[in-house]
Amino acid sequence: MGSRWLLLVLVLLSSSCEGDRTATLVFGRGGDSVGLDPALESDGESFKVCDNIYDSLVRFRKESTDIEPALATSWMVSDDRLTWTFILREGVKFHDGTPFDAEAVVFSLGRQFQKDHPHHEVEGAYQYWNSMSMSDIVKDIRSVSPHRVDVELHRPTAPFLSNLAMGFCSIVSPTAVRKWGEDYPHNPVGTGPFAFAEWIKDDRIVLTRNTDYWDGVPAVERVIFRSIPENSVRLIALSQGAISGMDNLVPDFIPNIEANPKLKLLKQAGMNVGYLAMNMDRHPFHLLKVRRAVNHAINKQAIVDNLYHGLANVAVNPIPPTMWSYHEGIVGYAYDPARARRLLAEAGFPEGFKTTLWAMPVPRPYMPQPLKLAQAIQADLKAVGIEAEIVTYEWGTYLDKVQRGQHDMGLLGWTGDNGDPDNFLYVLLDQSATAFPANNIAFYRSEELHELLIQAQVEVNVETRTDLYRRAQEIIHRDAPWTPLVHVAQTAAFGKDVAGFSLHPTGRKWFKDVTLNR
Amino acid sequence: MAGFVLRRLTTIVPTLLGITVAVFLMVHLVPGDPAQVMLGERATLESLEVLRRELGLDQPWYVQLGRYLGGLASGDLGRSIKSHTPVSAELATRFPATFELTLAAMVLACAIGLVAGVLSATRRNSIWDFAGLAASLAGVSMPIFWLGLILILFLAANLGWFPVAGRVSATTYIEARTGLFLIDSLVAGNFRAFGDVVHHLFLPALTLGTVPAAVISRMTRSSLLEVLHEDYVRTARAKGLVEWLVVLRHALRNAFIPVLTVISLQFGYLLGGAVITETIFAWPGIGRWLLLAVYARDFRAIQGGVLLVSLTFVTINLIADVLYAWIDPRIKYRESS
Repeated sequence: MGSRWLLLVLVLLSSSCEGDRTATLVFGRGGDSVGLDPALESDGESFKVCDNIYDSLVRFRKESTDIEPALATSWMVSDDRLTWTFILREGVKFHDGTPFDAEAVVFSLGRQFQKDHPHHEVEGAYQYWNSMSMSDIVKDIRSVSPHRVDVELHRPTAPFLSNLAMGFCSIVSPTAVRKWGEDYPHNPVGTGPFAFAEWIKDDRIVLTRNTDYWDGVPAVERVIFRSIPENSVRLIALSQGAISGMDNLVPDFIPNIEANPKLKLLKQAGMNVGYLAMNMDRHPFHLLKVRRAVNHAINKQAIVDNLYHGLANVAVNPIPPTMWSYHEGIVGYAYDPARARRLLAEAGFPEGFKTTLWAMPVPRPYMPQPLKLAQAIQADLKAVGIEAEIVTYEWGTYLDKVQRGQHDMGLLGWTGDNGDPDNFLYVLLDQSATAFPANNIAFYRSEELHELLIQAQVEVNVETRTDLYRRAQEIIHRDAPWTPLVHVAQTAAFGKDVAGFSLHPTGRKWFKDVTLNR
Repeated sequence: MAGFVLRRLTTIVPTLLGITVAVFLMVHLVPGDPAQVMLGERATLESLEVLRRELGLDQPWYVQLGRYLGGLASGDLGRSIKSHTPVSAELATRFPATFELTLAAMVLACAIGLVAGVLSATRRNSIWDFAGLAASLAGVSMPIFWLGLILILFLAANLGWFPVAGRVSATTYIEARTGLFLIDSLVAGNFRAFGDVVHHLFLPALTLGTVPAAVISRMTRSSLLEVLHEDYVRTARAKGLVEWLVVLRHALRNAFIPVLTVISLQFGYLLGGAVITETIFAWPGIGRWLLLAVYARDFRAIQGGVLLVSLTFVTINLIADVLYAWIDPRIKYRESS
């Protein structure tokens, strides 16, 4: 009798433990996603979830910006480099059971630019399609057979393949989009390792694993994204085990996390740059010597040590060292205030001059404390005779004014999208980017650079492109339209029991290879 | 009474209209282009124009106002610029969370405040009184932000008595019928979930309710003190009534009017201002949502949110006014004064 009760108790206990061993990965983030239609969203939190629900034709290799097959098994370019042909993977199904085929690809991409596409007119701009200028690149997209898609370009564009690996080119289920219409962003259906289950606004999004996933069934049964806005509370939740991982660590937390035996810290150089641009349309920044003087005047290492607490690298070039074609042979302008003063005197400013230094009042991924950074730079400039008055506006206004060139010197930055150097150099420093809203806020116009960048866009061969971009970096360094300041590291912290996760240069987070060892 | 209520209801409409127009003007005349904020560093001229047209920002402000008021008349609050979801849907998913938190905070605040106030008043100048004074002073002085974090640190992290944040555990599922999880979990008969909800509700309610508790206790004390010196209280005692009956049934009821005023004002204030508590405890309510809407220049969301909060505040005040008449039969709302 007693042993039967014991057996019952044991069975009950083990069944309740069974429930606890459900492999659920809970990831804590600072805010909720906006929507889950990859073509419409532009915020990191939306893509964090989308990246685990959807696949694209191609994807990035683990921990690298190289491209590898995903939903497309192979591809070819025509001789005139205007037509790309993709052979699609067979036997793949969407989470709603409908088949993945060429029609789905044409639907997912076509709706973003074809004005007569029935699902083109939705509320919300196709922000990434437009900002990556995809309509200038892509002319047409056709399904040739159920497993073959042809994409016709306006002109040869090498970065096109990297763009396809980005979130906004994810393939969505046409059946689901037709069914849900405007509500599709809250009912996403993809081919990815996890399927959408539930969304409680501002609280959590729940995904369950796709047991038919073409690239292997994930070990984790459920992924839950929880919104915990307050940084310190998120850290407490991580230490308590209420969440298994978090990102966007405040530098002050790092020692805490490193000292905690139950946690592990992940760190990697990010694909971003924070810089000080000098408006070459304004006196006296049209003078090369003045720009070089500013470069010599600023103590970048001190900035990294004190404002970024070591979670950044000093920037020498506009592109980060993790990006292919990075020119490690270029030596940055050394911190040398004496030299700065000499250059200023040679340029005709022995007593220095007065100017304005613009900074934004809100933290950005590449600049967590822009106003403090501006103060540090102001002090460095003062030491060589340049009196810089700090100017700031509310973020939207700041962007508007700076993109119109109303500043003398301005702080800004950029987070890369597709792992291609073109995404940094052409977007931020080409002369075509000086019309409002200018991304080239140094208003740097170099025909020499322009020709190199255009050629590198057209050229498909990676070695040739690498050579072109290296020359481009030499020119930019020579002309010094910016003082490149930092490349910020990306960080994440996980419980020790979480294995199989690695940071990616693009900052995207994929959980399909995660295992939980309890 | 019915006439009074009806008259009050008719004044609600112009009040809310005035608030709506004022908020609209503030949001639209303040510098800062919503399209620019949304697109950030990635804006192109084309995408800015497309977005502005879609948001209706290319129209003059009076046209936009007219359109909005027209929509309002048919119950359409527009769509959130950020999420493209109808504002009414956004409010419907979040308002119950704030309401539940505020209600719980007020219940705690009243419980603590009334008890402390009564104790202070009846044991005037004793240790209870001074303890009450010190506690209420601390209560109004402590920043909510700090208090919330301290409570989490000690009671949730160190002692582990309470969960760290959120409204329910990640693994609890409650069918949202009213959105008030306390009710929804009971209706579904899911007592484990009910316990989970209460467990999560306690710390944020305590944090949010601290200031109102302090205010209520002081108000109760001073109001009760006045009443306790009245003749009829002396008479009641002379009649031989037990002290607590004297205090609670006779004195407190008469002292309650100013306290009720304070409670209704605090409730309204809490509803609008639970932002900090919601941020700290990751509570998915409208306070934080409204704050984020302001940052994003999501003017339709801002207008809808402010309208809802104003409406709630006005309703609570109306209920309080009706309660005055119930508490004190001498108060009669006449047709004409």
